[in-house]
Amino acid sequence: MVVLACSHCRAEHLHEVTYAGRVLASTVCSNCGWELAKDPAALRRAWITDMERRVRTKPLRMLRSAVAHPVTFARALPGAVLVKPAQMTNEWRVLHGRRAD
Amino acid sequence: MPIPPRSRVAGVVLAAGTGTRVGASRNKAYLPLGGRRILSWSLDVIRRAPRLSRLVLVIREADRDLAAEVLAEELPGTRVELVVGGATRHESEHRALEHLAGSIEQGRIDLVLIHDAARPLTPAQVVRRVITAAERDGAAIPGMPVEGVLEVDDLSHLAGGDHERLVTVQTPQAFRAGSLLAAYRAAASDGFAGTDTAACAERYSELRVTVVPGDQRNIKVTYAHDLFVAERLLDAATGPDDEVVKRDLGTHGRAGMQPLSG
Repeated sequence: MVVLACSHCRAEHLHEVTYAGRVLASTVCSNCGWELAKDPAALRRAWITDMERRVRTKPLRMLRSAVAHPVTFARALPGAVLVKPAQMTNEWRVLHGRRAD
Repeated sequence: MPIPPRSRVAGVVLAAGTGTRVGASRNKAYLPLGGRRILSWSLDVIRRAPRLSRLVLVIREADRDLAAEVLAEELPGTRVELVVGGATRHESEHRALEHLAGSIEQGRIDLVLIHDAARPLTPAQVVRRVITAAERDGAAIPGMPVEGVLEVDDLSHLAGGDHERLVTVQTPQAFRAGSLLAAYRAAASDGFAGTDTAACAERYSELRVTVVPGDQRNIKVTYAHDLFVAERLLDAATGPDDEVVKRDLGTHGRAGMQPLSG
């Protein structure tokens, strides 16, 4: 939850900001419920483009991280692998119009 | 007196009060946007400023760990000094200036460049324009002409008046460092708290603030819809004519950005 100004109730209120991966999906004002959301088809296109970029750069990013901080990288790797299915499920839910967990 | 054209610049990015006025919410400066946090884009703009010698990020104490993590992930190798801000923008600016006071008093910083963390899309030419004008005149801010504005009196009648010279103010704003520090110290002893840097500089120093052209893309993320606009602008900025991201692409490429997830 983050404070943003709402163009509907014209004041600053907490907003729920949802992402599909790294792509902005929607914002909802906690005061009036005003929701701004990307068109689902456009969101999926943007997500696919971003996912291609993430997959393409993953090996290099992992390598950089392993070289820069080998111990931290080794410690974090098992956890990162374990949470990946849940992350992907959440992204899938957002892409199909459901709230992320 | 003009500042020598080879001035040394300190950049200050304000992220202490960015959308945190309600409860214990997250700071909007740390929201992801186009592959990295809003804050990282804003810092990246300032770290590319000509003749930058120091870069200060003003944070709230609660964000210290998050700030350190984001800097390590998204701006590796960039030396950023963290300063805990105050309850108001004015107080945060004053703390940043006091942090730099030693260098300012020893003449190792000539100009201070103050920028909002919530403005991630500032084109490089706006930064250059502000610095050049401040070197010449002592203080400079970017402004955009206000269009379609009319004055209305107490009875809701049009009151007329000339509004052609009104501007909306943007950041970064640049000031002669010694004068600005003295102005904030004088304001503190008076109990004055300005709404922006220029207000304090004009009131407590000899500086005359010059307005240079801003840029329509230099939006401040304030409304929820600004996030969508900023994301679109960042996507569009991968085109050939934009300096916001193009320069970044030239160094490590968008595809090489540090991940937020995935």
